[in-house]
Amino acid sequence: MSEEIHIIEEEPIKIKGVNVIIGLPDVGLVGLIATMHMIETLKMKRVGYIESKLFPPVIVLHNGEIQSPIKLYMKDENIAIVSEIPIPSTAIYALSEVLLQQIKKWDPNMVIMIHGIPVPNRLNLEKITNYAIGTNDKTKELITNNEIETMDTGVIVGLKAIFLWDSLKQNVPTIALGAESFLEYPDPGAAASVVEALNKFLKIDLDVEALLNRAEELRVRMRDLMKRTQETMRGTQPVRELELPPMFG
Amino acid sequence: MTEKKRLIDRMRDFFTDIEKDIFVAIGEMFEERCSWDPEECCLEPLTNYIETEDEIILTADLPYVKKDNVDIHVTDDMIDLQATLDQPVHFKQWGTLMRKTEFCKFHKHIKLPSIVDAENVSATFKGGILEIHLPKKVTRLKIKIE
Repeated sequence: MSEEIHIIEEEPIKIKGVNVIIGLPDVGLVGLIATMHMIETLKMKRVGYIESKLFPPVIVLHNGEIQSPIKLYMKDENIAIVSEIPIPSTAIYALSEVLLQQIKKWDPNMVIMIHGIPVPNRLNLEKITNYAIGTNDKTKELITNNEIETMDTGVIVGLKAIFLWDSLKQNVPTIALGAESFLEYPDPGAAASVVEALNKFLKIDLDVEALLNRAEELRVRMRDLMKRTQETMRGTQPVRELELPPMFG
Repeated sequence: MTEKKRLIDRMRDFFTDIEKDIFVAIGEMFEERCSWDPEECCLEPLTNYIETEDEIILTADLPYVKKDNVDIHVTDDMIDLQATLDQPVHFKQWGTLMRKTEFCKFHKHIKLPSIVDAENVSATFKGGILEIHLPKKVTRLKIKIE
């Protein structure tokens, strides 16, 4: 099925050693909100898109321009991949495979897949904690050096699970970076927490306050996407991330 | 006269309940319905519920809303949630009817999965998230084993 997904570089990405940030609709839309904030703040340029018959038949219009809902942006050595539609569970394996094939061509310095970690007590959390998982020694060291908590035991589901697994097998330096989040509501607070961690990993200075100031606007705007994402997530059962794995390590 | 008025009131309540049931049933039939209503200038909030043995805990995401501007009406199997926004929301960049509309409230009518004790419902509001605790109306009978 992977041949049914195409990554189109509208502007060829020639540089090597890039950082790739992936933000797809998932728990609390954390990945999408954080990555969109990065794209807007750094004024990243659109350089490509992803298309497939495995995705819903949707295009988006921005300022009168027809666009694919899944796009690639770039600024300096940072590439961001975002989607304005939830990825159907039937396309997860193929998309993970195609993304990795493409990313390997860019000889990545680091790949960061952002996601939300559903927690039942999110409403009462005074401070949101970020957790990260690294696929090799280099990424594990980066996580430790940047003082991000590592997720030692747990269950991961969805595209990030397959992407992490594929990255591990192919020795791609991937970090799954998550923040404690609402499961079913857009969570700009969790996204802001991830942005703080992104600043450390990428040695950039994204304005966290600016994102928090837009929190209510984002929550209103993202209601429909959150609803669609909830429907799609039922196929990958994100609540399983609240479960403990049954076996010892 | 009073008896007649009481009867009319009961009939009105009865038909209002039927109307609500039909509204919810149609809503459930057409789940693809739009999440905003330009005529009422209202948005449908995201809601979620969990059901325990004793209660239903319903939450709603209500950005731009203050606690005092939330109205909750509960019957034994329905909840009507309305909340006025602090400032109207206007989607200027939207391509169609939406850009002409200023949304000023959230509104959602929810059919509850169990009968609840409407007189003992409690609610909290924190960070724009409304949490409503609806105790279930449960009849517990101790069964004697013969």
